[in-house]
Amino acid sequence: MKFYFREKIVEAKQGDTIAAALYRNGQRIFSRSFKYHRPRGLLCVSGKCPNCLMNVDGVPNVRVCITPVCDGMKVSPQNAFPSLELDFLSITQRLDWLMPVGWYYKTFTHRMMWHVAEPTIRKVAGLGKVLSSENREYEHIWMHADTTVVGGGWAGLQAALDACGKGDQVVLVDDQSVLGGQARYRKSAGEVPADLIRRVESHPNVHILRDSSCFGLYEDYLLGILQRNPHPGALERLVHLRTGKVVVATGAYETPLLFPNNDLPGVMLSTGVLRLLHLYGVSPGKRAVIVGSSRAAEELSVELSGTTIEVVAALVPEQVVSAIGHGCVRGIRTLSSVIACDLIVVCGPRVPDVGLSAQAGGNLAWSEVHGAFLPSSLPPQVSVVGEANGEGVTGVGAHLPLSKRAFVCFCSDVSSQDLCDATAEGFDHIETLKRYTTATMGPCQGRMCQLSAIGVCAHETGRSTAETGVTTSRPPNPGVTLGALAGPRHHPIRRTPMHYSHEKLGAVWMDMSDWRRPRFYKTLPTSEEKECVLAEYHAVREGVGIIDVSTLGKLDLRGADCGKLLDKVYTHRFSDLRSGRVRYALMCDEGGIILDDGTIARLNDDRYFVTTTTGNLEFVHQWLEWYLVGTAWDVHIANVTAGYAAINVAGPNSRAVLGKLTDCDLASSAFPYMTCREAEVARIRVIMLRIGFVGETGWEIHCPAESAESLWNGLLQAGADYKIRPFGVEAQRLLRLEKRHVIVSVDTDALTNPYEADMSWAVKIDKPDFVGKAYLANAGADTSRERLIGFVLTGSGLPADGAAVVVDGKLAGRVTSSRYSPSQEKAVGLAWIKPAQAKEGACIDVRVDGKLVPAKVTMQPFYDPQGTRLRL
Amino acid sequence: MQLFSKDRMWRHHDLKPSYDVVIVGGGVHGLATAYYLAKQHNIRKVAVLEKSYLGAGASGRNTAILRSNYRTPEGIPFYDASLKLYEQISEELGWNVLFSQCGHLTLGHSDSSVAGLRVRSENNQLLGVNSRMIGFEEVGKLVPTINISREARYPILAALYHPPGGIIRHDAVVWGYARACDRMGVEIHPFTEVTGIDVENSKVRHVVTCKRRIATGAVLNATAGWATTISRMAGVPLPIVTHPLQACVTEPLKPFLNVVIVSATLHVYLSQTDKGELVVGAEIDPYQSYSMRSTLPTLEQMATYTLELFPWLHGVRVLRQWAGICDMTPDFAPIMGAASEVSNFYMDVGWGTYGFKAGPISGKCMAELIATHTPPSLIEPFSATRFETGRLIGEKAAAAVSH
Amino acid sequence: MSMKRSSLFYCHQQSGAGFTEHQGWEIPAFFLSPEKEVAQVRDTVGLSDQSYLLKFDLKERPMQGRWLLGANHYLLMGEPPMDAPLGAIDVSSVYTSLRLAGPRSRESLARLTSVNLSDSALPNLQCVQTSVAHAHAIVMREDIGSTLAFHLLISREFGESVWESVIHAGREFNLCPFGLTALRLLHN
Repeated sequence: MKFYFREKIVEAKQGDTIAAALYRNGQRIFSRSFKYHRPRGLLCVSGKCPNCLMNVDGVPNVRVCITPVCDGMKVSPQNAFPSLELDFLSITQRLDWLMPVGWYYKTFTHRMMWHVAEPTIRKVAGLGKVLSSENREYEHIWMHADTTVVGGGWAGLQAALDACGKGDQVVLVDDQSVLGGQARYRKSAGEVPADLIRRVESHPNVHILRDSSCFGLYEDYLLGILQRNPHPGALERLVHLRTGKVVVATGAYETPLLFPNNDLPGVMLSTGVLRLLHLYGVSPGKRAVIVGSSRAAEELSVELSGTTIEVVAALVPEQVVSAIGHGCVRGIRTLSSVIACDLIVVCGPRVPDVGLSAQAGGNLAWSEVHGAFLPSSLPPQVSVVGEANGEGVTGVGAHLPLSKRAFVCFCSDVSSQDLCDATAEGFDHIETLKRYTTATMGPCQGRMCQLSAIGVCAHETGRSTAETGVTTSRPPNPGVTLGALAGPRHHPIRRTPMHYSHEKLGAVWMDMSDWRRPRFYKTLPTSEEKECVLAEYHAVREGVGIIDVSTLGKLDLRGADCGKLLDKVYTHRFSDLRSGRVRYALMCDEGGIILDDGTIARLNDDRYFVTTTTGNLEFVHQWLEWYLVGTAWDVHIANVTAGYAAINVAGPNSRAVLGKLTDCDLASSAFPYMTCREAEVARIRVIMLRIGFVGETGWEIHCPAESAESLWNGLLQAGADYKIRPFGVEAQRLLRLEKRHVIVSVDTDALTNPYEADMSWAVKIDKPDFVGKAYLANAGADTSRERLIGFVLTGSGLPADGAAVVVDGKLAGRVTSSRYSPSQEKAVGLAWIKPAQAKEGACIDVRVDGKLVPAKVTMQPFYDPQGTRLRL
Repeated sequence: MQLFSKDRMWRHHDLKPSYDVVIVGGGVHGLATAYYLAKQHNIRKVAVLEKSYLGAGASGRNTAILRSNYRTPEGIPFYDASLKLYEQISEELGWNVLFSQCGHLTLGHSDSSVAGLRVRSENNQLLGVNSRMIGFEEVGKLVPTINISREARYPILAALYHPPGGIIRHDAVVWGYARACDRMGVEIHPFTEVTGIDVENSKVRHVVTCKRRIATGAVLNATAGWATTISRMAGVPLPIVTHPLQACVTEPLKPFLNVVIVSATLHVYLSQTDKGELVVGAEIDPYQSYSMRSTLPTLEQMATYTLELFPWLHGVRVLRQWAGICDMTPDFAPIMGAASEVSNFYMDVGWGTYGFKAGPISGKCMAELIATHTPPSLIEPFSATRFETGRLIGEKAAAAVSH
Repeated sequence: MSMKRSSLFYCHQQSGAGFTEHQGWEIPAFFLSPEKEVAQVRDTVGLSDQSYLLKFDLKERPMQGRWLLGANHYLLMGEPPMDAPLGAIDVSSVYTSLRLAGPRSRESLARLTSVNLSDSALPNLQCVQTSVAHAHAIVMREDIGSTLAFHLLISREFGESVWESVIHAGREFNLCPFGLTALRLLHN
């Protein structure tokens, strides 16, 4: 295989990771560190440290030591200028005396200085840069298991079989493509019998997720798992695994030792060396010095015998003075001599990977014997096995030299001296120490550095390791891409039954809480919104227009006690509403605040048809069901919103047009304003409500959704002689504004009661009991609150929705809706203002583009205040 | 020179038998109050009691956004006074709190949210706050990397632009105030949990802690997430419910975002720290809980909406998610003042998702209240009596979607 | 009078469906060819539009064809023509009714919903209410002979969005739509 590194071709073998291929081809420096731009090389070779972050195919911060090579990949270094081998910013190391821990808190305290310095600091900070914006596919999937085993090493494989034996459906999660865990490259981990792997792989009750990292154990045993390259159609897959039991068999990982220049390329963890050798066939070096406890060094010598690596010395950490080299290891200085070598193999402390159990609420306690934090208490259903539980992990006592060049946190270049200084400054709790020095806060999230940081903190404060404790373990660990978390990113669109009719008619769309509605209809390509809306307006006022109001919430209520429920929950009376009549319905909460409005039609003795605003249907349905509980009332409620399309036919000619399609008597004597009928229109069975939001003769027709297009087109056809026009939301807003009809949550807000909104007529305070009565009984008398009024602009201009109302130069209210009224030939609107100005004829100023324009207050509708046209 | 000093930021003390003022809560509000008590009113026999390490609560968990573009005539001058104090704070404390005054954008993706933003814009301007409406093209100029395509599922229609807003290093504010307090003789007591409050004749006499009982002349409840539990000890009921609030942070990237972005419609807000990390926050979880455990659905939601705004960030990794708990009041405005039931029990609580930005001014006002027994006019509207009189403050639209 | 149309009519038109009339509805008889569609469903998975099915919302237990939605809350669903039971509210028009069928239907659906669809959690002829592709849905397992199958009832206005999401979720298995003819063949 071939891939590109710094635009040059690099050869790779099958099964190589990018790092393995680069190392085999001689690359030793893989990145530059965050603060001092020190050269960094492969350290852990398992994706746990920040040393090999590079940009791959445009994506930054990729851990190339665990990323398999694909043909044609483009890999480039990041955060190193001009190159990895020579980075100008490494000069900051010389200035390290000017940048002690927390230096930026102690400098630039003057505003101007910080203003000047900050942009430079921002530019120098950051690791990678996103280079490509190609969209990729990310999948989400949900799975369920009785037992989930995290980790496919020896302990995990055994646990999986045990669980199967009990009859469980098991999911085994492993972050490699091949099972076996560390035994694949570390002989001292013990051998995994080939038979064991075969039995697990072939067991019918086991589902194996390979190349999958478990990044979080969430509430109610929900595991978050990131699976790489699940199939050609998806880059990453986020598995949500709901499980009964969790077995944490994640093993233990190795962490670095502390000594000056312990971050030089060529200083590698023993497990990193073994992985390079056994998994990728790459020789990490020729002459190696092992640093570690005598037992660990001996074990490793045995492992390395027979390889191409010559072990020239084995040292205990106390003997090490520093690693030597510029850009890569040349030797190691001991207390007595200098040993030349090109590889320093570190046998570092092994840390049990117990993050998952901690996330689930398990506690950790320090075990001196193991030299590790182990689970001391576990939530039910969670168990920890194998090395993760400390098996085979032995503590050897830490050697923690204090030096500016002995790095604890590789991600942020925090040295042991830095930690010591910070502790002296009073940041002597592990959590404050972390936040002040930023140790454990980088890409490795403490994997490489937590143990040493705790060790230094304990030593400097004179506390035990157990007392010092650990920082909180939080998901996602390892990190997960935003793309994988977001998944397919399908945001549903709610379409009315006439959606495609509107498309054909030139609808310009707008979104109203997930619904697509026509804002207006662009009849000619050159038409502007203003002229289209005006034409639609005139059609309704002088001829006839139809609008799709299908998004209205609709509830079908059946039963003998519906009236009781409605009386209880709405402010008006509905139990005395006669069959065939319609009433405006206002709903308030216990505090008397308006929740929603709509209409309620009584279709027959035990059937009511309730409409709600578009956005509140689910809420109103729940509210009604809530108040029904425990009453034993005979009420059956069905949400039929999507089942009925709704069309408002409005205008002086609406009767003529409708008359062509129905035998129903539409004369006002037979079908007066605020009544309802079931009838046939265009041979479709419909519910007709004679109501008038827009202020003209009109009907709101509810028809079954599957026949809606038929009806819509039928109306357009029947109305052709009357120059019928479809009209959209903008025109409707203008028409209703002229009639001073309030739209809940546009003209009202989270604190509005009916009295302030001039709707006292909708409140029947003499009802025995209803939701909000207690508060509303007193609210009417409170004259100190803001009121909703209408205004007519006497100056020129058009205030925007939300413009401020000003009186005597001071803020006095706000405009909720404002439009140019063709019938008044002036800008009109609704506004909230202080009570002093809430009277007919009062003078106020309204802000238009920042300037004050005079207006007059009116309490009457602007158009047809008597409402005669509605009743025609 | 300060750069090389290794002096302790705040000293260790043993609890004394009595204090003039005991402040419960070692976050930005409690520490700021102690600071102003000492500095402006020369009241230094003050103990700040913190249950855990300093800044372990909301002060250490918030997404560190500062702004004053609120909605009401009560809120706007209050938050603006705080922002102005923040502008001076590094100089005043001699400690750089890394206030990046980069500007703040609140995006509106629907007609109703744009109208709501306009109300704020108008009110801000009339009350002297630098804030204005801008169209989506100008948003694209301010943030070249943001998605302003009309083909997006929820295209940006307009935005409220507030140049004085920005982000800050929240821990640094806590440490800065703590050090200043310590230098003036105020005692800082971390890992000191309050377990009881003794009230006699409608006055607080003692505070009981896990270490010892102390006598006090006044108590300030400056806790967040625990406000009701502390107030209950003094017999003071509060109309507060507690909800979790979550956030997350990504790996560091080279700078691409130099302004704070909030989307009211998409319920997400983000900023890029000086270190290069993207900090993303969400709306409060819709249920009441004291749990500070992170959840996967909220993380997914934050990622989804971040990608709606910046689709090209899909390969960027989230490193860590965390949660805090927020005390929510009925009107999304705080409760500040003396309790009517216990005259020397003071409260600076109910800070929901908007507390950090109000730290300095709250400290200043509460200190004045405690020292003079008269609430400054700036905080009078936030008195607890408003829930009886019905004079609620309509900040929900400007406070919800947290920051 | 025009024929009744489901929320997916235009979607089907775009896919090149061959339409037919069924109980007053204009629905796809086939997309590619009924035989290919049957093979597809038997092999992996297919998706069909059965919005013409009648649905009734009831508070009392009906005789047959019932699905339990909650305490004293039932859904009766069946092929037209069918009489409305006493006390029922006709909700036939409220739902877009999809049929996902085939051995890979469960895995396809698992990409869109968190609910447990396994044999033990959702046996044949049981239903569960959940969210599918961000829309509230009633998932009803009803196998076609020995072929695993599910009804997905979603509020009509979400029809097109959910249809698209299901097709996208099943792309690993080449999920494609099937029509009335194939459905009838599958039943035999």
